[in-house]
Amino acid sequence: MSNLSTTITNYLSTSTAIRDAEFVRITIFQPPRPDGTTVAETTYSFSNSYKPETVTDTSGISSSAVATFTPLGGLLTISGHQRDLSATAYDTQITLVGIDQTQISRVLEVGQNSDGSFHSGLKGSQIQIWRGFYDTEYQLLDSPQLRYTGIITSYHISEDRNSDIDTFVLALQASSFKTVLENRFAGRHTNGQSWNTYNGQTVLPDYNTNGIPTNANYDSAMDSVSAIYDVTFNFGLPVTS
Amino acid sequence: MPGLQTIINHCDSIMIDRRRVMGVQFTRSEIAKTSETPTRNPWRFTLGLSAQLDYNSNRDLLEAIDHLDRRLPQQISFSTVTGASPGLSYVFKYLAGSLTQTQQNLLQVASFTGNQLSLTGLPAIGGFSSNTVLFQSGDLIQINGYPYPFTVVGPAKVDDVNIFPGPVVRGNSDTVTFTVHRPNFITGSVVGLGVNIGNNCLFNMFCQNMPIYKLVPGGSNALIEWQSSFQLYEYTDVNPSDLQYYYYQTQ
Repeated sequence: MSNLSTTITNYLSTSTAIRDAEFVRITIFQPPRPDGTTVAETTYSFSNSYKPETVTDTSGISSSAVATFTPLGGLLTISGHQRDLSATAYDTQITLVGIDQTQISRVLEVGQNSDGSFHSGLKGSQIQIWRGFYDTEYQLLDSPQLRYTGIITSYHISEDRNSDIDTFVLALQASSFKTVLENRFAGRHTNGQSWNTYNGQTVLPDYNTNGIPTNANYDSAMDSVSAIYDVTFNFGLPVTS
Repeated sequence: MPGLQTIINHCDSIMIDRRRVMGVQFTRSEIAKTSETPTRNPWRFTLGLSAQLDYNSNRDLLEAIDHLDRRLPQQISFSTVTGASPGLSYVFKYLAGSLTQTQQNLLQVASFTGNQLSLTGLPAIGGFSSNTVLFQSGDLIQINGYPYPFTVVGPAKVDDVNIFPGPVVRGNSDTVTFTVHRPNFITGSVVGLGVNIGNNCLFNMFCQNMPIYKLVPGGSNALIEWQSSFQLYEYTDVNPSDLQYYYYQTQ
């Protein structure tokens, strides 16, 4: 795409039409087997183009360099994308129909397969979306450009039944990595071990003979907590002798 | 066997919809700019059928209609060879008319990339000149084994922007390349396969709204009145092995 700007200018000046398609890849990271052996990740690649497209990922971001994107008739929509110069958190949604019944378990939560292994649901898997452009022969121009990387945070299956017309759609809600990072839980554990672990090393109190910590780096704020751990203590009642 | 072909044979009108998925915007200087999603651009027919078929003679048709419902496609055509009414042969008639049926049977696909289709097995120069028109713009071509008709738009693409509709001539080469109305979405290899031309082309259609019907009695018989028109939609998401299953229904 060294001549991207030239291409865009040509399109603006000489062409009144563009043809573009979206390419979606979902990477599901599988849990290890009960015996601890790892399971390879599962990748699904599909597009709303008219034919399979084998695309070499020149962005270097995805986990596989080459993928064939199946022209999934079931890909209904992809919601809009926000592109900013600065890192911006935003969500997107893709809508699918016609999921094969043998693949429904891939959509649902973590479960066990017939061979004893486990599978992850779609939630938590990585999603990448590219956009590719076509020429007047309907041949792909250059490599599609990566425009979204995120994590599937939720899904919902909706049914629209109207008399004898019954349709199901699967909508995947995806959040960008920035959103996921912003959702971290802030706070500290209320125990002495947590408060006295620094850079992976345990800070020892070095008590003197009077039971007073001599290590200036030691935080004694949680010392009293361990004293009441697992003790029945009625907080809040007036003290009676 | 009755089915969608029966409906086509008796319909009063056919509305053809080949529009692409596209958005149009206008710039401040009022130049139109379009954005197209490269789809398979399916054929869509809307068939109007008046209450003309009688109930007693068409019980099997109704059973076929109810069986197909909105779920199964069926192959139809506009040729008497495949069971269409003779009165329909004009709809997709082979316009150029220069190739005899024997010559058509010798044509093979040399390549099909994007919307550029190349055929080989052309009649030799002699009986044909290089200027003999093989296909007129609007002629239909369908690759054997894949019931998805493509229309001839015009000669091969000349540059990145312009495709000019018009007649396709024989030329001096062993192959002729021309532009068809939609890209090749067939996943299997089509090289070496024969083609059907004109109204011999097969369509793989299903009815997305399959209308219900009402019996209007008259004596010991009744006329079948349809609640709405038949909206046929080309079914392009089919493997060749599946097509054999669907095809038997038309025999």
